Amino acid sequence: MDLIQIPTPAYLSAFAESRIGGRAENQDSYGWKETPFGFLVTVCDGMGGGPGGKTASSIAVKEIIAGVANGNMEDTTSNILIRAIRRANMAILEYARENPSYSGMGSTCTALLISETCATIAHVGDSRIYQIRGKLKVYRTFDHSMVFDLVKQKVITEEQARLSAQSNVITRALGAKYDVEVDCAVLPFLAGDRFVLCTDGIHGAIPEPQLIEMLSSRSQSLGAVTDDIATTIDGEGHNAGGGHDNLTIAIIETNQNSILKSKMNPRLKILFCATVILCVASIALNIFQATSTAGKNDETQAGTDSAIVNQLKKEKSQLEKKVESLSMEKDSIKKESGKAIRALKKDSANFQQEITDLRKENGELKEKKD
Amino acid sequence: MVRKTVYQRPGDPYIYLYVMGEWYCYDPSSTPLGSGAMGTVYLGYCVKDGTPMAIKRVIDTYANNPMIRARAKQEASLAFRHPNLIEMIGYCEYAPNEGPIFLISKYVKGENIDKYLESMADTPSRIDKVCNAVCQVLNALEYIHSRGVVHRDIKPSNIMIEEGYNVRLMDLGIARMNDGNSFSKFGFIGTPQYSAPEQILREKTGMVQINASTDIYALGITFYELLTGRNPFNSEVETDVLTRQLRETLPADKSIPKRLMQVIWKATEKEQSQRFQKASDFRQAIQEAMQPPTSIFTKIKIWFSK
Repeated sequence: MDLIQIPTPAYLSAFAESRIGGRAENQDSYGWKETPFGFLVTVCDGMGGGPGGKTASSIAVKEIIAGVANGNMEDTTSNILIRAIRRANMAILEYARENPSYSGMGSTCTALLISETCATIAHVGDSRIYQIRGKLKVYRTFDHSMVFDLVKQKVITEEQARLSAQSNVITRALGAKYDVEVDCAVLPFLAGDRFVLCTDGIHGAIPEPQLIEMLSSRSQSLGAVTDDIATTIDGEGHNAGGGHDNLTIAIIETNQNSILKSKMNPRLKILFCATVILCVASIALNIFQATSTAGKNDETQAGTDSAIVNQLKKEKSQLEKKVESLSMEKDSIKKESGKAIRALKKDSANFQQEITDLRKENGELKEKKD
Repeated sequence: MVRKTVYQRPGDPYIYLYVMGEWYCYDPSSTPLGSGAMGTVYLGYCVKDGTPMAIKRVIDTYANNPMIRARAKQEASLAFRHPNLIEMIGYCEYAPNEGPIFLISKYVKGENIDKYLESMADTPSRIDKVCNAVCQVLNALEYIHSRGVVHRDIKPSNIMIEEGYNVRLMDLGIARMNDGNSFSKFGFIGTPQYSAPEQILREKTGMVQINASTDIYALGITFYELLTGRNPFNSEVETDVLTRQLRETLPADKSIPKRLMQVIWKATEKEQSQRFQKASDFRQAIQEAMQPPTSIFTKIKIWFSK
């Protein structure tokens, strides 16, 4: 099938391409529709013998579109999408019941219901939905497959799962049983985000980092990116001898931010919490260190003070001794000086007497002379 | 004019099947003999002489899958004749590559080995009986491996004890020729509780391949289960079973003699190259483990005699 430009509302651009790969029949189907709840794109991968695979995926696409288009206006987009997928499941089972030769047919499904508010995605089976921002994968569905269950349990790596011969043993599918469990998520988006819906013929053919690199290419138009991926994978399949799986991809690019704002990414949350914890721990450590240093300083200061006190006490006692000796000296000096003063006063009195006597003698002498 | 190969007369409960120039019949309303991974087995008869036959009707859901249809035809076409294998007669389909498909084999009067052993729990002869049965399964495996076929679903429910002594291996429904088409893309091949790591992790284009050692691993697990009465890796969650198959070694059990446990450990090595490479090696190791231990004196005597 050729590259198709999907007619979308102004806030979106979209392209899709489906190829038969190396198989006799293309059992993948995809479709789109503008609905009252947003723009719907769905990609399904059929399985089962004879015409069953294609029939199942076609029924799935038709019923999902009809289910969403006739959804309850008061319901949430998640419920609308889940109900539509369950309706598709019932339709496949009913068709197989009425046509025994189709018994055993089934289909995976991926669906994107996108409005200016948010993007609602749902899936069953091993077809995937990616949300690419810049060069990063910000969201990806988890396959309902046996090997992916082992990946979740960290028994094998994603690459081992991709390469495993059991990689397409799926644990959930439309048409398998009456109560199908649908995985659903509501995602915010930024202008330039790309939502990618693809079957395992795409994501199972090349390592994920390579696929994301191709999906995030901005050097060419969205249509060229879509066609390039399909051509590369199909070409590699043919070069490897053919027989490769059908491949279908739809890429929807957003031209504006969603009204629903991004909550912090769980990883970022963890990083943020870890940073906060580190900061708190660092501050606590600093405080602890400062406190312990201050304590030590206090202890040192206290030691120094007591030494000074002791020194001062020593000095004081020495000084007291000196004061005592000085006061004793002073007393002795006082005594001696008193004695000396008294002796001097006596001498002075004697001199005064002598002077007086001399003056008397002098007067008498003057009188005599006269 | 295309001859009808599946026929039902008005008022007759039997469905008649034309296979390899003979008519066979069975009553679909009768109690089935059992149910396998691919279908339900009924007791049927050869119209000509009334010989009892086993008639397996492949589940319709699977019959519409061309690969499973091819697998069923392959099972029927394996013209193996061995005393320890169920003898296939052929297959019959409603219309070429369309509608229900039936596999006709010789009827074996007996019971599954696990049920057979239930009656002799804790008896002294139990270990001998199990070893003998496992050796007979190994005879069958040696035969099919020598013809380039790997069974890929060895488990107790696929081992029948015929009239209390002969062992018959059945359900070659998922067996494939070593160089045949890969059927793996339509579902997990084998039963997780008995599947070797390579059945789980084998890469699409890798070097690790399903071979005789895959059957030897599954028979090792089966051997352990028959001796202890429990599957060592069983769990309600299938992913847990697979995880345990990939990571865990069989725990020693007091009901298994040490020398026999060593043999089982070797058969169930996670690395294919570490296991017995041939069914005959496994059988010989079991037989040696069942012999009384050789004294040093005897060993020296044997050494001198060489």
